[in-house]
Amino acid sequence: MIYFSDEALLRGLKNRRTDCIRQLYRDYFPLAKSIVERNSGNIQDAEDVFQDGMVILYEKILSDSVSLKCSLKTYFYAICKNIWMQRLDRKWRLLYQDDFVSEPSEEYDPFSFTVHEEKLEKKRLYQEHFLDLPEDCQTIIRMYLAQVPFREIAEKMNFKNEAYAKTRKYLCKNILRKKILTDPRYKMFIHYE
Amino acid sequence: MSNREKLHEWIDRYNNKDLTGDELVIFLELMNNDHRIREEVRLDEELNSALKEIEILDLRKKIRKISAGKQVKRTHGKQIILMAATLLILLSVEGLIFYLTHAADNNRNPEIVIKKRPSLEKYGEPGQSQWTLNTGQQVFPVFRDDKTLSSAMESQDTILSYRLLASYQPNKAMENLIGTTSRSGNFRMLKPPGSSAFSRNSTILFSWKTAISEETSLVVENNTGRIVYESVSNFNQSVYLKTNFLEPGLYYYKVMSKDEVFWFGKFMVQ
Repeated sequence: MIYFSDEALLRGLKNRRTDCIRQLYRDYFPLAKSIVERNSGNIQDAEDVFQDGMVILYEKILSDSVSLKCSLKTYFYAICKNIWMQRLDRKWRLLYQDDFVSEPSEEYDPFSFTVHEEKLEKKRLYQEHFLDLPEDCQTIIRMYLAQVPFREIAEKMNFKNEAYAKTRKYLCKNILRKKILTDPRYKMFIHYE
Repeated sequence: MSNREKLHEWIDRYNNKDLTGDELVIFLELMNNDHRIREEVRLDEELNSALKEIEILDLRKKIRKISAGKQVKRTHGKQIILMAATLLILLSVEGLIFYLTHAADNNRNPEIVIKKRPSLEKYGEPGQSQWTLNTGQQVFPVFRDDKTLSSAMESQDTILSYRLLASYQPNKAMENLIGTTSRSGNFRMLKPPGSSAFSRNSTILFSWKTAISEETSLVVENNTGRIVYESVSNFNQSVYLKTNFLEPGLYYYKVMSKDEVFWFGKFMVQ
């Protein structure tokens, strides 16, 4: 079994190499799990925090803003802790906003991270539901968002015509919308006017 | 195309900035008047933005795949542990039952239950040989010509053999009294000689002698202490007892007056 160094892991993650992601999961998921489970979370929360932490690390690698002054493990630990503490704080405020007038808690930020935790969770929710769609639905929506003309979509997907491709796109997106709107986690993002 | 479908087409076109002219004016007015449409537009905009992140979607897909594999392994691990625990519990329960069963067996009275199959053995000189029934714990003399016992042994009738054996088990309390007399030189047991064995269809003569003539009787008990015979009290100092009503086994007898036991003895019926 190949064991990647921190630098190799960063390079591998930049290219989304499966073996690097596997090593990161094996070595770093227990960190996320311990942070979450020690702070009133469960295994599913830990999975979410780990995934969000990986996305932040990946985005930082892409924007060349990772400057390691410690081990990658410590760095990743700080990211995950930051995410989970902010998430806990947000959920606390959502639950008790009528009972308490509280200031947002001080951010746990040993590495000056700016984590838009709420945005991150919402994006994960959308992307998770998208990945749960049938393969053909995912392909149609991907092509539509890449501004592939409906005529071309119909040809690639072997649909009889452009109108049917439009209808299929509508149906697939509607399935996605319904899955999101019925997800209890989504209700935490609705800001009533 | 349904109205709903048409509305979503307009939302798509609005977010793609394809709506122009009158269509744009009408749509903006609709949005102003209906918060649900505004919410739909916002969701669609956020969805489009999230789903355009192809690389991140790919990264999430790979993480999910790895995580699902680990979860399956974790579940399998838990199942194996659960199965092992179940097996261990079953073995423990079985062991406990086995232990309790045997502990119960060990606590039973060894005088009543004989587990070893008895064997019939011959000893002595030719022409004067005798037979014994060996239980592994004790040896009992047996008349070879006793058809009941020997046929039970030969026919491998275990239940009958064991039942017979149980009736030959000595009664410890009575054994301690055998040969004792309350009157020392004033009482003498004449017949039968000590620990005699009789066949089932015989007559046993019990006779004794007392210094002073007084009313005496004979009481016979089996090896569990149940009285099987009691003679009438008289001055005869002898009793004839037919053994045909007695089951094969060990018996104890006492010669007694109204309020005193003179003698304890035993005999066997084969």
